[in-house]
This record gives sequence, structure tokens and C-alpha cells, in this order.
Amino acid sequence: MNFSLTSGQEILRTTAREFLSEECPTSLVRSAEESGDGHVAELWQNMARLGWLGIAMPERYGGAGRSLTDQAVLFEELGRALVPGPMITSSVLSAHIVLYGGTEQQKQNLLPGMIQGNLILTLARGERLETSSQSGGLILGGESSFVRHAGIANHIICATRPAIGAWPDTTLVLVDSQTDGVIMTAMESIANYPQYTVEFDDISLSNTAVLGEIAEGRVALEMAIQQATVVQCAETIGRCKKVLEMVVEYASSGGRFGRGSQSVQHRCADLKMALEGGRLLTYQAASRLDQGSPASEAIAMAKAQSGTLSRLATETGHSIFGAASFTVEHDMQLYSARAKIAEANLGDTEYHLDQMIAG
Amino acid sequence: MDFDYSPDQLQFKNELREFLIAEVPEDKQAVFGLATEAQYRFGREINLKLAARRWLAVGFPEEYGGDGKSLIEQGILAEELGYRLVPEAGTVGLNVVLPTIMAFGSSEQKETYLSPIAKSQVEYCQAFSEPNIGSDRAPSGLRAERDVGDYVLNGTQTFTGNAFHADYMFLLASTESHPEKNWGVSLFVIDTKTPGINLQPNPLINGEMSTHTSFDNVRLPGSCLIGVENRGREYTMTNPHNAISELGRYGAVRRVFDDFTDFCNDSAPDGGQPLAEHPLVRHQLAQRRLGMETWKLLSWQGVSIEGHLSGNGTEVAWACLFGSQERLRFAEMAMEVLGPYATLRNGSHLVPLLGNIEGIHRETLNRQSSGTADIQRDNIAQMGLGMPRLGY
Repeated sequence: MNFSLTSGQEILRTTAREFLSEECPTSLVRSAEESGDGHVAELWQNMARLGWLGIAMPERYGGAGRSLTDQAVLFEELGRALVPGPMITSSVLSAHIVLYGGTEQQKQNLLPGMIQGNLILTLARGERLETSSQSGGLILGGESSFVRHAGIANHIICATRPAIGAWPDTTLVLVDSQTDGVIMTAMESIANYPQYTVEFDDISLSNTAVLGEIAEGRVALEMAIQQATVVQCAETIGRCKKVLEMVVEYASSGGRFGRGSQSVQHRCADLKMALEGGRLLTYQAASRLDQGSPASEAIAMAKAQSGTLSRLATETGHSIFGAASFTVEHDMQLYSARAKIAEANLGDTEYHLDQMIAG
Repeated sequence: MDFDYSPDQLQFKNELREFLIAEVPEDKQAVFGLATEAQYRFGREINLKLAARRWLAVGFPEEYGGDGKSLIEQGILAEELGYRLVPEAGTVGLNVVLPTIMAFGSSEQKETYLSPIAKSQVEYCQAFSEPNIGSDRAPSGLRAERDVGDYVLNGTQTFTGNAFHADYMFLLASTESHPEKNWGVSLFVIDTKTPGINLQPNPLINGEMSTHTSFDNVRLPGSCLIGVENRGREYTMTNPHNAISELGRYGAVRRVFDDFTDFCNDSAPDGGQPLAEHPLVRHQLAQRRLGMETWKLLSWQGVSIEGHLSGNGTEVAWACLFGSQERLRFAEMAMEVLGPYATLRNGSHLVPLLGNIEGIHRETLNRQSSGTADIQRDNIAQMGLGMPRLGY
């Protein structure tokens, strides 16, 4: 029982914070938002050089082989700085699907490139994606929405259900995003977040496009989602921490609240308390996964609280900053818009409350 | 980070659980909102048995009657005593006096006062409150004035819990020579039978008896002062064992929550589906389950951080603030599910869950544990977040 960070984690946090304060100011966040693809190639390459894209990937694929807890420490900082780009989608969610579900050859083909920043992967899920077999290969059809960062992804991992009467369970299929018959439509989203509806127009694929084995993709997908959910919670913690810092600084520096206001202080105290609770729930989940212990309930609790925490941070920030925070130039709105994306990603509060009871 | 007990700690927890299940039959368990003399005596009996195994002060050095283990074991004890609904006795001695004298007392005070607490031979009360004064403010109505080598106490205290049972009193009194200064408060340990102390009953709504306590030229030797003058408030507010007390409160409420969850799984009031399968009840149970987990983690963080001496002191306030809200939310949710049955008292016809839900409603009105929720918020904002201290 020890809830302190290790010295290695403290160093990671300090290094990340220093790097991001230089390399990812909110002006960069804003230009990424305006660019349409939500990505900054130079920052991405710098993060690859720091080893962040493969921080929790095994060393044999070029990763740093660190724990999910370490990765959570890093993502707190990424959240704090509102780092744009497909960090969670590509370097956590998709990378872990490949790691858990791919053949050795597929891991060799995909992971080093992803970790070095040369390959971007994303995931398409949904009830309407189907695969069926045809002589010598597969046919992929249907469509999936909310496919994040599809516009810059080199490959799309499709989690498909079988056509009726075929094999019994989820099959993961890897599709080059440039393949004929892959049709993307941008879903215009809050904060210009890059999400797409992707249609697969009965694409013929060879059997080597299957990640791992036919009908055996479910476990890899679920395990990767667990990792990504914890990381998403850590990112939220970082974002909310920064909101609290901004608000405390504003409310303590004279101006509108003069020498201080008890109602404002109490709002800050409530946010601090919720933040610390969320941080412990998140690291508990990370720690369970790192140890290989049963983690489903801990993850569901962390993500359920994460949504509530996000809402509280947003409400606290806007009520203390007041009308200024409704202007485009104020940074608070950057945090609030991204809070909504994170809240809805990988299951919202209600979904995870339900998972808690089901588990 | 490590969220698990060590194998030794787990073994201690298991042995303790088995011991308490064997020693605390249901009819002797504490009931929320119903503190009786018989329960108090039973709590003392259990403490004596725990002390005989060196488990009562398990986290304190062996030379003072403990077992030389860590704060973690002391936290396990508090949580388990709460969860097994062992009636409360001796907690001021154990969680307030013992750690404070360990940290700040003289070697003579340690020799005199610590072993009897660890062995459950004495009972303490704490006199930290005055009428109409928040617990983060200096008392002004009780003054301790130097008279050669002695102190002479004059004034009043209130909400002195458990004073009629207590052999000794842990007491805060004003010693600042400039009374307009806020923090001139000193900490004393005194025999409750010292001439000049008068106790007037001030019953609480959970059946406990507190007192209005008046001091009329009460003379104490200088050796009763803990630490140095004018630092008493600091000693009591930074006591790491405040987190351990919170674990005890968590344990007890968690037990009733678990019993309530079982009740919802087992009861189908109209002969239809169990309560727990009703979507609204399920949702509420999940939310409170999440709240309980958060409360537990925040309380353990207070213990863990203090054990590593790296906290800024407000970790405990997060836990106490969260706990005071969470038990209220649980009580409210239980009433939403149980309707008027939630108002039935222990012993009543058709009472569910031994009346613990009714009792929790009254207990939640006591939100002053280690300061009211709003004082916790002040502390978190001003001490933890560095916001300005307000001049109210």
C-alpha cells in the first residue's frame, strides 16, 4: 500500500511537462484544431524520438517496455497540454490490438513503424461491419462511424462480425486506408475532432489481412480497450488538473475576486477532491492491469468517475472564469470541448456504471 | 504505486476478521444512531482482547504496548473494526492521544501515557471545541495562564464527547499572550478528576453523551503541556491518524452499504423482480459503489502518504470531506429505495437492516468529524491549493 509515484515516474512527469510546455503551447493546439486533420507532424516525430509512442510496448519491437502505470503518468501530461494527434487511438488502442492479436510477422511489420512515428493506425468497430469468406480470401463490407483520425491513418483495423452462418466471433481485419472501396466521410465534431464514417464497399482481401486468426479477435480487442480506457482516464486527470491550476491562479491573483472568495475556494476544493479520487481510481486500474490481476471493475469505476470529473472541471472553470471563458481566445473552452470527446470515448459514465454492476 | 496489502498485512487482516467474526455476535454489534452504555462496555471488552494480542496499537512500538508494525496495519484495524460494527470505545486515546504524544510528547510523557492506551486500560475524551467557534479557530473562552511552574485553566468547552467515561482529557486552551492572535493554542493532557472541572450533560442525537465542560481555577503542573506552547492546533490538525479515524467511519458505512446491497438483491417487495434488478436501483447502487471505492482510496491515501511523510497535510481533508458527503448520499439513496421504511428505528416492527438506515440519517447530521465540510474545503483551498486566507 503505497500511493506515491516512483522516482522514475517523477522524472518522466517532469521531462514530459518541460518538453510540452515548450513544444505544445495552446497556440499549437489551436492551429491543429484549425488544420482539419487534428495532427501536427513535427510534434508527432518529436514524441516518437522521446520514445513516447511505444512507451508501454515491448523492447523487441522498439518500445520502451514500461508499465501501463508509467504510460498513465505520461498521458496525464499529454492531457494537461491538450496534445493533438492520435496518441490514444494509434499508439495505445491500435498498438495493443496488434500486440495482443497479431501474428509475430504482423507485429514486426506494424509495431516498429508505429513506434517510430512512420505508421498511424486506427480502429473501426460497429455492428455494421461484416466479413465473409470467398475463394482464397475475404470480403469486407459495411460501415463504421466515429473512426478517429482515419484521415491520417495508414491502416484501419476493422473489428468485424461474421456474415450470418459463417464463423462464430469477432474477426480483426487490417485494411490499408488507401484501398479502393474505402470511403471516408468526415463527421464534423466538437473542437474539430477528427472523426469519420468509413464505408467499406465489399473489399476483397487476402487471408493475410486477418490479424491473428479468423473469429479469434475478441480477446485482443477487449484487452486493448481496457488499456486504452485507463490511458483515457489518465489524460482526463491531466486535463482537469490543468483546469484547476488555471482557476486557482485566476481566483488568487486579485482582479474579479479581490482578496479571495469563499464560494470560489470551495468550488476549487470540491474539484481538487474529485480529481484526487479520480487519480487514485485510475492508478488502481493501471496497477491491476500491470499486475495481471482482475481489473474490469476497477477500470469501469475509473472511467465512470472520469466523466463526472470532466463535467465538474468544465462547470467549475466556466463559472469562475465567467463570460471570458465563452470567448474563442480563452483557453478554458479548449479544455471543455476536449472533455466531451474524452467523456464519450470508450464508454461514457452510464455505460461503465452498468459494467460495474454486470461485473 | 501499490494498491495491495503485503502478504503479512493480508494475513493480519484475515486473522483480525476471523477474530472479530467470532467475538462480535450480531446482537452486540453497533447500530448506527444508537449508542448505548451496554455497547460501549462491549467495545471496551473487545479492546482488551485486542490489546492482549498487541493488536490494538498494532502500528506502535512494542515498548509502548504495540506490535511494532506500520500505520497500514493500524488502518487495517480501524477499517475492520468499523466493518465488523464493533461498538466504538477508546478511539480518542488510540487515534488522537497516542500518535500525538508519540510525535510531540516528552520521553516522560511517553512513558506515562502510552502503554495504558495500547493496553486499553484508560479512556480519553477530547475537549477541542468551544460554543460558536469553528474547529479551525482558536478558542477564546478557555484560557491557560502560567502561574510559576503550573497552568491555571478558566473557561468553558463544549461537545466534549465521552467525558463521563474518560479518565483523561486531551484539551486545547488558549495560551497566547496576545489574545487577538489566532493560533495561540496549546495542547494539554489532564486527569478528568482534577478539582475545578465540571461536566454538564449535553446529549447527542445518536444516544452518545457529550458534555459542556467548565473549568474553574483548574491547576495543572507544567508537565501536562504537550510539546511547546501555542502549537497545539498544529499538532492536532496534522495528526496522520485522522485518516485512520476516517477509515473506521468508512468501514462502518461500507458494511451497511454492503448489507443494503444484499437486501436489494434478496428483496422482491411485490413478489416480482428483486429491487436490485430495477434499473433505477441498479444505477444508484453502482453510483454508491463507486463513491464507496473513492472514499476508501482517499482514506487510504491519507494513511499511505502520511506513512511516507510526503503529503502536504490536506490529503486527510480530501478523505474527510468526501466521506461526509458520501455517507449522506448513501443514506438519501437508501431512503429513495426503502421509502417510509427508512424512517423505522431499531427494534421497530418491520424495520429493515436493523434500523441502520434510520440511524445513518441521524449520524450524517454530524458532519463535524475533523472539522465541518466547509472547514475542510477552506483547508483544502488555502493550505492545499495555496489560495488566500480569508479574513472572516
